Amino acid sequence: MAQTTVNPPGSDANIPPPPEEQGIGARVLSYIFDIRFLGVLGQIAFILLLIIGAQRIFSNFGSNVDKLGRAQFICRDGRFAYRCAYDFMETQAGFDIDDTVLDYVNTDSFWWALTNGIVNTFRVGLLALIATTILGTVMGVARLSENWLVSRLSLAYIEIIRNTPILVQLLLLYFSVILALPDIKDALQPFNLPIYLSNRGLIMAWPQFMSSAAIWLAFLILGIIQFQVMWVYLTRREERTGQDSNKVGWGIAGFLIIAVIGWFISASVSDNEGLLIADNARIDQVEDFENVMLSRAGINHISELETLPEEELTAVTLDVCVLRESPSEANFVNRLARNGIPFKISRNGSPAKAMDKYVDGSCEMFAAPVSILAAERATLENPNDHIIVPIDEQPLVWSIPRFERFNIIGGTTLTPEYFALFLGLTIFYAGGLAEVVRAGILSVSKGQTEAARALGLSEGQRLNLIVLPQALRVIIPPLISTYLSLMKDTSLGVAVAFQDVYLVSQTLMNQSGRALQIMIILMLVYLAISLFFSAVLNWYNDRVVITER
Amino acid sequence: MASVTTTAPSKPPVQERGTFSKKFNFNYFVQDNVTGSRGLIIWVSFLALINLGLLFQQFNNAPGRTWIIFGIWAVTVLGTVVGELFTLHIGATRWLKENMFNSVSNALLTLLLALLVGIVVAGLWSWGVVNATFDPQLTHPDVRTFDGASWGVIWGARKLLLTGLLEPEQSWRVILWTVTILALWALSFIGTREQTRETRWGTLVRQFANVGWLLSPFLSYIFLAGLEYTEPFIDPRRLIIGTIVFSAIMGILWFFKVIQLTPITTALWVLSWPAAYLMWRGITLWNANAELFTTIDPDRWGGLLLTVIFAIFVNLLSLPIGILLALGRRADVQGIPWWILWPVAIGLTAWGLYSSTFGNCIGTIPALCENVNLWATSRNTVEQIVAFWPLLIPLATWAFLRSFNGNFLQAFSVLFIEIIRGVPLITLLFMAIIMAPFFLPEDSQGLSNFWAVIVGYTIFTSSYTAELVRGGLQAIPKGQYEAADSLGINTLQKYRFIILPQALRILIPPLAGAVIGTFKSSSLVALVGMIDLVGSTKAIIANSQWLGLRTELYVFMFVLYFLVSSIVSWYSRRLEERTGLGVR
Amino acid sequence: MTATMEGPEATKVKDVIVCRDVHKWYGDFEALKGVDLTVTAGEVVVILGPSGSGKSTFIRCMNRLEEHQEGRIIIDGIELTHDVRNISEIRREVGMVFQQFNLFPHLTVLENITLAPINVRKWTREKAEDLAVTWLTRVGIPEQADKYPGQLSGGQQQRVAIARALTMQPKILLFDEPTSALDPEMISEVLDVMRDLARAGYTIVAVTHEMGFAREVANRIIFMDGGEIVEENTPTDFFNNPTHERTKLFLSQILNH
Repeated sequence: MAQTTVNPPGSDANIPPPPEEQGIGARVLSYIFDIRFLGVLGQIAFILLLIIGAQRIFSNFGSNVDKLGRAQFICRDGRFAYRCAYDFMETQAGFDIDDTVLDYVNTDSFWWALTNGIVNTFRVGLLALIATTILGTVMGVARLSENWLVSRLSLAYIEIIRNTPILVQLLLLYFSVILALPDIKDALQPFNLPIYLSNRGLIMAWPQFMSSAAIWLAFLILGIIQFQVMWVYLTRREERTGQDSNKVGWGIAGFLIIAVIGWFISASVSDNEGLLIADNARIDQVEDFENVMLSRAGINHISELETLPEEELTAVTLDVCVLRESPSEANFVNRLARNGIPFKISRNGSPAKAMDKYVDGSCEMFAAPVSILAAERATLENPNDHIIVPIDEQPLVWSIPRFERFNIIGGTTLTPEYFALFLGLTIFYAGGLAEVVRAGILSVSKGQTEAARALGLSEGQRLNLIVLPQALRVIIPPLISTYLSLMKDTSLGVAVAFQDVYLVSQTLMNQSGRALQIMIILMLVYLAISLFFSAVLNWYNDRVVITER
Repeated sequence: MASVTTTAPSKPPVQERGTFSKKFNFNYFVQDNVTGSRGLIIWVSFLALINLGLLFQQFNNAPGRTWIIFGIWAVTVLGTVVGELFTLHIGATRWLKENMFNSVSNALLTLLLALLVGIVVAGLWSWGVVNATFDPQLTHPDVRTFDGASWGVIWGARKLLLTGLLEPEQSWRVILWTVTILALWALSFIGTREQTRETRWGTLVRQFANVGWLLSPFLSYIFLAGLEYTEPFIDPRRLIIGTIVFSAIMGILWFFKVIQLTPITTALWVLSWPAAYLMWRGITLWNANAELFTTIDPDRWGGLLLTVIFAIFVNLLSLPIGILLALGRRADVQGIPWWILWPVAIGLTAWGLYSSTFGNCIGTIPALCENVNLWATSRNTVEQIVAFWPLLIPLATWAFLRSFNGNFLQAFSVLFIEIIRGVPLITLLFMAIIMAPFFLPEDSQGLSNFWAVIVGYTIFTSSYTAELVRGGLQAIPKGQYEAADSLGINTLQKYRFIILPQALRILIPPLAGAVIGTFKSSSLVALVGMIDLVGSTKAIIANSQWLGLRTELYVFMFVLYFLVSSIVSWYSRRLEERTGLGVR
Repeated sequence: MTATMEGPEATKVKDVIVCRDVHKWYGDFEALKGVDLTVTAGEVVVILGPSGSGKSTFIRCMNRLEEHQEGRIIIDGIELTHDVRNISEIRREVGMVFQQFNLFPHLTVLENITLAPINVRKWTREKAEDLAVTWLTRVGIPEQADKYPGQLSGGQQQRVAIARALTMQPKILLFDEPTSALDPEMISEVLDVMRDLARAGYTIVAVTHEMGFAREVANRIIFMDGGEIVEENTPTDFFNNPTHERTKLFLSQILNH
């Protein structure tokens, strides 16, 4: 059996000599069979294989570019050079984008068209993202509801949505639901709210910021600062004296007071909005309209207008020129509507067009910012026969949609395409998100709830302090992946002809024939989006890992 | 709580609060259900208001239906209340109490949802059944006179929906193929059932099915793609490529234990190649007039057939690629050391800088050779800066060494997976179609769109599969790797015998999900001009016979996709139960 | 029982494990600070020490589950370097039993045991299964051969793990806390097997907290702390006359609870 003696180091004869003392052959062999050497060798072989493969592909690519794609790199001076790959982007786009928020006309450059496409992608994606979060949460919670009908319906929704392709859902929604809505003249108006649903999309009231909004905004920021200060002050006082106080309540109250004061101040100091009107119209301020109207119609009170016959009403109706969808329009329209004065709006694309109508008499007045009116008045034959009447303005006015002849004007319009894509993305991804939310809530064990109850926390405190933080840890990573998928799937807008970055790129390719260059831009746009979301996810994971320790 | 009714009669009154306390207390009831908090008051009144409005409107629009719904609701509520007040609960009322009417707001919510469901179901019913026509003979001007659906179009346009642009006289081949595949599936299903697996004929059935599966690629090819009737009967290049690709897939799947090959089946499989050739020859000789199994261009496949072919092809191809990518991403090999990388990087940078500022050529390809001297031809500052693009090479090298420690396998897999996952599928499909002509040899007739889409789609799906597989690999405890290492098993054997079988078993549900996902998102190929199930509707709608009949088709597809997805997910659950096995 | 069953195959050299000045770092943390150890054939060495003392790391270095960065480890005359030939040869000759058993849950007990002999030793299935059954009999659970690991108790699983290591006919056995994950009533069945193996002449290096086993079976006890060998002694001397302060502290903590 074995000895129990301790061998002194270095004394044993049967240890092989260290590598540096071995023969040259053995050493070379041991280097070759070194696992690190083999690993590096394998990788270099892999790289070489890739290079050879790429060369095979790209040799075809080179000659094919020569054959098919030489025209892709033509400079403006007609020469061939790679640096001119993107020169074509400065040429006129030549196609329309129906639904833009930035000003775009078809004579703008390819770059600008593409920018509009990118903006559209974000416009639909971000809104759908918010709506998905809300709907998904509601559905996830409903799935766990103790009401049998609620949870079954939620289950049916989730199963149906998750087992059908988003493309078919989108097509069904667009062609069979939204385009099947009534014509605009019979638009649906749910609950008498200023919202109209028709096959021209969704038209709804929309806030517009007047020039005085800047002042009001300053007050709002002041209100937020106040909130912070109040919070810190009350917290300190609480720590000092132990006196409990409703920090949120006080903060909101302070904020509201400052906001209201700011509203009135900014409304009273502003003098930006005006109305260009003939001097002989006997109108010096907006309040005069009522009297003018009464004398015109020969009535004693404005409410008698309703009793007038159609032709007479048309005769007394004010003809107002405005700039299309300008805040001034909403402001003046609201002002007249509040006083019950009948009017007809003529919307113009530019001040010059409005002035043409003003001059030929097809409209009696022109409502716009004072600076524009002053400049336009100077172009009139007799500037002194026309005056600019100031109109009071509030920092924010609602542009409210209203029927005019067989159309609805005012408000903001979500085109059927935008609306369908937005709804389709929301409904589809909310189905997935509902499962995520459900799993997140279920992941908080019952023991946690019991522990919270044992500590005497209220239901609200339990939800806020115990359940939500833990559930969110489970929910947020898949939530962010859902967001990423949603942003990528905005490209399905092509199915309903919504002009997002993908469809615009496709049009650009057809227009210019430069497939390669545009593909690269398109990929970069989507990769940037995905990198952004990955970065957010990593940041969140890192943060959670740290707080968990 | 439900149990309060029967237990704890002697507890103090505070304990008995709640809707269903034994002693009903009206004050407590109101407080718990309505006036408990401001939020509750608002919520309950809101629900009540909406209910009233909806009821009022519905009594006007559809009195019969509304009376029934409201009546049922009222009676059940009444029953629950009576059961509650006089503790007379029977099974049904107890269930109702617990699941429908456990608070005032829930009772109101139940009514509201019942009314809404009534509206939707009645609307769909009247559109889809009552007012609908099922006459396939009915065509354009007449179908529009109906208020409801004209389901006849689905029967009338069945050829387009099922096989797209395929010539009608060839559709029997598709039917034959479908029957063959379904029969094989049924045989496998029977052969692997618990009751039959051990019996003699069960084994026989299973073996027969296995041989059938091995032959199925040939059968599919003959049935769906057809034969060349002139020498050399089949394009040898296509045969070789097909053989290599198919063997590689089967080999990898076999190697990683996804499928099992016994020596007998392997031998049969090897023999099946000459057998298939003889079969080929036999058909062409026997049917020399080229009536049977003539060639069909893949671009003529369409409708449901194309959707199914895509789903099968892409899933089969992407699983092995996904496994390899996942292994690459987890590869723990010695990185390429900096003293190899930096000299190469610096050399390349120098060469690139020289070419783009002084020289005039970086390669032997003539098209890439002209005007590479960006500096000399630059027109503005931006282009001058771009001329120094080779400086990105050291930057990339630095990032590579920092993030991946020189591990190229990992870097390649990570970049591949992440880039592909960052881009929408439809962009990849479009790119595949647009870019394919640039990468193909000049003498080729060009890749048909079908194959281009297959390539793009497979690349996309394998990235997602790779991430799934990686998740499965991560779920295997470290001890499994160590135990394998300590036994002296080499890396390949380790993955083949120990890691992947376990990982793939964990992965059955998510992989089934991925298969369904691929099936569903194959509808996107319609957006790049393929005539698949969704794409065929475009042709049907444009047909003057059925002008404008979209909704019927979309609803049909909606239901079809739903059914198929549900069946696959049911089947995967069954598979999971069968392999998940009660043995753990 | 066949001759091979009675004891291990003869080793090539007398000192089957030779470790010289072995260092190991995890990042900045030095887990092993120059460990020297020589084990002769047939010797049973038990390594003791508080948790975090580096004893597990040390034993895992001996078959390259962990890589040592400095010093030399020579197993049966073969040096552990980055040379793949050496690594696989050494792993073939060194069997290891883990704290968590690490059986392969998707394979039956028999498949678990025969996997490595068939694929590494290239034996026929019959030969591997014969030997596997003999070893299962020897560890006392021949009837469990066709079950899956999940169907066995902890003690049975650990005995399967031992049989799995032994069927490869290793010359050296490493035990990494083989009884720590077991319920108390199952510890003895595993220790009995280990005792058997020690008597049969296997070279064993074991990390364990079983003092009784160490006292009874070990030829030598190594006490490690802070990545170093603090004391090296016969069991009798180690338990009765510990020389080092840290050893005394450790023993008082272990024995007086």
